[in-house]
Amino acid sequence: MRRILIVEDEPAINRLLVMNLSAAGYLPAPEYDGAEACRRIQSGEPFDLALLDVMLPGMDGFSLLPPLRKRGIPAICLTARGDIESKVQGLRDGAEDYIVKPFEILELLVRIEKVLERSGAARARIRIGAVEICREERIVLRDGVPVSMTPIQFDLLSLLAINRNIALSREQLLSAVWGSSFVGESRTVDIHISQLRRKTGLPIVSVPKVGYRLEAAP
Amino acid sequence: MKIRLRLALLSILLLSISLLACGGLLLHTTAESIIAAVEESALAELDMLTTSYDRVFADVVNPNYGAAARRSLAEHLFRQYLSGTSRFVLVYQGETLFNTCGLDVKKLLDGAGQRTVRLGERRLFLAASEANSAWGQEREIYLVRDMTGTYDRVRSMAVRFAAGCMAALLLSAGFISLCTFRALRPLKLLQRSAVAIADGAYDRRVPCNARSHDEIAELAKSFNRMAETVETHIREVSAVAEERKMLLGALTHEIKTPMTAIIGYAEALQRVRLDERQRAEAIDYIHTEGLRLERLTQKMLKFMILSDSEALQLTKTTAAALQSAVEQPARARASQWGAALRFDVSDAVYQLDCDLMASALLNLIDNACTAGASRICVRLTTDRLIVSDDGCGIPQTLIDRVSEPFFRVDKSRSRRSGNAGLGLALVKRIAKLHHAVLLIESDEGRGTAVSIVFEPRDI
Repeated sequence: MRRILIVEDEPAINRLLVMNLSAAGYLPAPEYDGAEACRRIQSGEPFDLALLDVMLPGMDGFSLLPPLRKRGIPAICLTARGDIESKVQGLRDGAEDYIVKPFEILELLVRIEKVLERSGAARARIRIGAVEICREERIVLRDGVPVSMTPIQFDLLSLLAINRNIALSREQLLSAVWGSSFVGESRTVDIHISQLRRKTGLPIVSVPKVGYRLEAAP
Repeated sequence: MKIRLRLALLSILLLSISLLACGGLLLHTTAESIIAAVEESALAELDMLTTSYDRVFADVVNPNYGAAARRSLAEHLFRQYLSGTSRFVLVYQGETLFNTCGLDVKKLLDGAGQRTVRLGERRLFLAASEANSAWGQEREIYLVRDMTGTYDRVRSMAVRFAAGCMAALLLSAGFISLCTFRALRPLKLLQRSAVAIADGAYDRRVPCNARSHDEIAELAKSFNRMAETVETHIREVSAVAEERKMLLGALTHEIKTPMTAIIGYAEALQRVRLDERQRAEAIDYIHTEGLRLERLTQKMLKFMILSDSEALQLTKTTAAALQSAVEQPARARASQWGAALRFDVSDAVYQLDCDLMASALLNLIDNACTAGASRICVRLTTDRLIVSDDGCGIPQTLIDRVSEPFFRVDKSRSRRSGNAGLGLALVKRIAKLHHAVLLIESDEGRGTAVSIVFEPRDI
């Protein structure tokens, strides 16, 4: 389980992030106070990634970047400010990425996944129920037995697994798996989803008016 | 053509014309009188000669003389009069007896009494004598005066005059040009300054001589006054625009957070697999953040309206009337927070917009409540309105910033109480509209006193 430190002073936003991240299979560690967060970072507590709100009461979120860097923990900055200077400063001070409020939760998850990949903390194997997805070898095991799968189906399953418990729309699935230049019907997605259901036996739920969601215990 | 050139040329032209006209006239009359004088002297000479000649002849002549004798006598006598500046011709009985000038004067005169003729380069004045005696009938004496010299002198005088005139004209032309250009140079400066100001250099002024009162100085002074007004006005407008921009920026920032929460939770409810508890929490947050947005925009609107309208309704309000306007909502608020509210009201009379000032006082009482006060005191004296409390106070270093829009000392506590950070900014605005200042005194941990101090006014 990947531990993510959340440093955000607004309880509404903090709780929202915890809700989403835990649904997606991460282990969120919420922190409301900047000074307290600094102490936790320096104390050696294990984290795989940090989400930093830049405007913290009494201190600059950017000032947490040096201690994070020292420990080799990648950071993504969250802020309401959209100006170029802030973005540049964040990246220059060592943040891995930058995201501006309000953001879509999917965008945040994708970025988190990317940053984790870069820092080598990406999961090589994803386990859901009886199914194991080996990302490097690109094979899927069900009860230890390899399941035959086309590359498209593999990518589709990986995407649903990484964003578990979060509904992805047909358009999002199409553009992520087939590429944005795909000219075809979204019916294609439905066909592949039903095949995946059959092959893996996993609960890929159809969320009305939204899309598909792979449900798993967080 | 430029005015200064026009002015200079016109002046020079006028000067030239008048100088040449007057001078010409003067020259002409002088020349005429000089020549007339010479002619007169010549005529006088002729006259004198004729008279004395006639007398002498009459004295000497003998009636017995024969024609030949008379003729030689006439000629002989005439020779006495050779000296003199003029030349004379004696014609006796039609016969030229004596002619030293070599001219046929009678013919040249052609019947006139006197005449000036031009022969080659010479000017000659010719005159005929009058016959005024019996003897005079027989004889004719003609005078020839060489006037060439006189005419030459007159001419050289004219030339000298012309030269002098030209020199004087050139000198004055130069002087006039210089003066005109000098006098009008400030206009060029003025024009350049105007262009500079139009291009944005609002602090440019035209140098002007404060003691001088001529047209250019007056223009410069007026110009500077205008530039001053423009600069002040631009500065005011810029300041207002700047403040408005900052306010909107701060507002946008303040709005983004509740918006993120609302959008985020709504999205989570749509997409994310949540259990009952989480769903309830999401809905709850959407609600509270929505309400927060509403309060924020309400306060913002009030604030912006206040800055736009200067239409205040000032009426004579007693302190007691102000108290009764505030009392009920104030007591309700205070009891909600568990604070004791006390009023200390004098018999002062103010010129206020009662609604606005009541709103300001309520804001201050609100702040006192959220600061955790147990005792709040509202004092209305002759020159100020004071709300003091024994709450948590404000750190000395932050007192100046506390009335900035959206500034909160403790963000987390403010959030719990629903404080947007606009209260004091609003009060400050209201105070300013009443020509009063906001005075904040605080002791961290002990309490705060906020006063609206009216400027002393001469009644």
